[in-house]
Amino acid sequence: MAESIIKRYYDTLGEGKLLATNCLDCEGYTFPPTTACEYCGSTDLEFIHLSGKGKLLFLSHGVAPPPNARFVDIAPYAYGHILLEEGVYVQGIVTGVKPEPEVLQEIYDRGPALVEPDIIELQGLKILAFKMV
Amino acid sequence: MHKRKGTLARGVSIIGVGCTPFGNVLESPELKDMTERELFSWAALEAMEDAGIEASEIDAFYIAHCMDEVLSHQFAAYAMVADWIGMRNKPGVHFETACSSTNTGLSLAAMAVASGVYDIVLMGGVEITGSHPQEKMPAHMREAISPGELWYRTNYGADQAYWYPGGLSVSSLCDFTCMAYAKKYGLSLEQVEEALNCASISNRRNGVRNPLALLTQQEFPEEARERGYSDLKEYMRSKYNPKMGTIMRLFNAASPVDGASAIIVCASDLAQKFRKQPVDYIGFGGATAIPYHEFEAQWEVEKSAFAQAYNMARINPYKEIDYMHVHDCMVNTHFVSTEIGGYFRPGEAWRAIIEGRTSFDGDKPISTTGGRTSMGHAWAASAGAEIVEAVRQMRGECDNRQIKPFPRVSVIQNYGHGIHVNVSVLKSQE
Repeated sequence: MAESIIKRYYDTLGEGKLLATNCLDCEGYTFPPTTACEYCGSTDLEFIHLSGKGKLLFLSHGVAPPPNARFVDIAPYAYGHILLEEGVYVQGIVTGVKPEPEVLQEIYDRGPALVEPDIIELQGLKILAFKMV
Repeated sequence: MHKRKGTLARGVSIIGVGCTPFGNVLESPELKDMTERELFSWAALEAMEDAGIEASEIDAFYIAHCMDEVLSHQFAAYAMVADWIGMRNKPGVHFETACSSTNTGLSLAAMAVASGVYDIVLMGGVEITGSHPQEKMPAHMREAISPGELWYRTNYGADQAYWYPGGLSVSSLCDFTCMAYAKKYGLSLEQVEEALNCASISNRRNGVRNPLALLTQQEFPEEARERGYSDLKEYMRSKYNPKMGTIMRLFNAASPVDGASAIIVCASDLAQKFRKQPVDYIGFGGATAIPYHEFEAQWEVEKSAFAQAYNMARINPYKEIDYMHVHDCMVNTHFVSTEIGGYFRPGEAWRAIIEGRTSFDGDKPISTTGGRTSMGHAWAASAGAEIVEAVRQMRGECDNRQIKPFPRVSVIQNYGHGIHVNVSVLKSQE
């Protein structure tokens, strides 16, 4: 029976895990998961979990009010470009950072910081965010 | 027999172009009360007039309207316009790739002609971003929508499985790209910020000279003086140009507008009989991806589109391009995309922008429409407007923003939300 990959991703996130696929042909990770490998298009995939640990390469922030009302309570939030230790680039909200010019400049000047997942829940949806460690 | 994949089986030329002023149908006197179909018809009929062609001679049309359902309360855009452009009972198709639509559409029209099915195709796009029809009323009876509502609807075009629900911040994409560019070439964020601001200044300088850019009336130096700033650099970093992210500021971002554009393509072997000297459509490429897991300064999706276009056009981008329009809804593309597209060598564009070389009268002109920051951004219509501009530049029709000598090879690159990148290469005939 067919199973929704998107549902499985969010169910897995609810358990504190990051669902990805590993390609059995080219060994590339596709995250978040889809029905085909993002590198070679293969559908010969297995589901795996990523650690979610990585490096925060760059930090920006969103606007307030946000276009997506789900985020109205936390906007303007810091938003990061992250390289996970498995070699996967992701973007996501970074918690625990005030998105003020001096703070953002200091983080940029300091260079890549280590991050780990900080799964948050907003208006009934689990969201993959990150926090600096 | 056609043998090489990725090339046209029959030459295709642009024979006519049309474009409405870009402004606001609620406020701009030039556009007041105009509806989606009237704007599209305006551009389409102007393109026919430009070519000296009758609607009856055109075999088919393609219409792009990105926000038709979510803002304009309609779909089936082809049926809305067929009678208005004199093309009843002809093939008409609605398509979109969001804000690259009318660049993509030119490729679709060219493929239809190159296949031999049609000789002449009209392609155009329309968008009204500042208002929508009142409920159950004809489209001339409109009410304004807020920027928040516009962006909420526009983000229907972002990945709705993961990226958007995860808090996507569109303006952050500009920041990430700028930071990656700064790191790659050893620049300070202040230097990159200056390049962004100088790109906006150049766009404004071009836009003031473009009669179709209704929202732009004044160059930045004049505006700064009126607001009490003698130092333009200081003005561009003042409260009037607030930061929207870590680096990007308000004037670095597009202004939504309303408008329409249209282009008529014809088989090259039949193109000489029309009013204007044809411009050949020699190459194009398109690529699609959800790019949130790409390293921002090395967008593979964009490289792919440029490579396809140059392969088809058989040009060396470093030597042969006279004019480039890049999709500047955020002006970081003036240094990032122009380098990916080979208009500049890697790491050189930011300095050229600061030195003023990318304005219409510089040696490396970019976005002489005024770009999406100063001509404005009309989602599905803008890419076509940018191609219309390139054609007019190549014909020498651009008055006080004319590139000299007239460009012979022009490249137009556009992003559509989501994203889809389309690149088109035009060449003047000898």
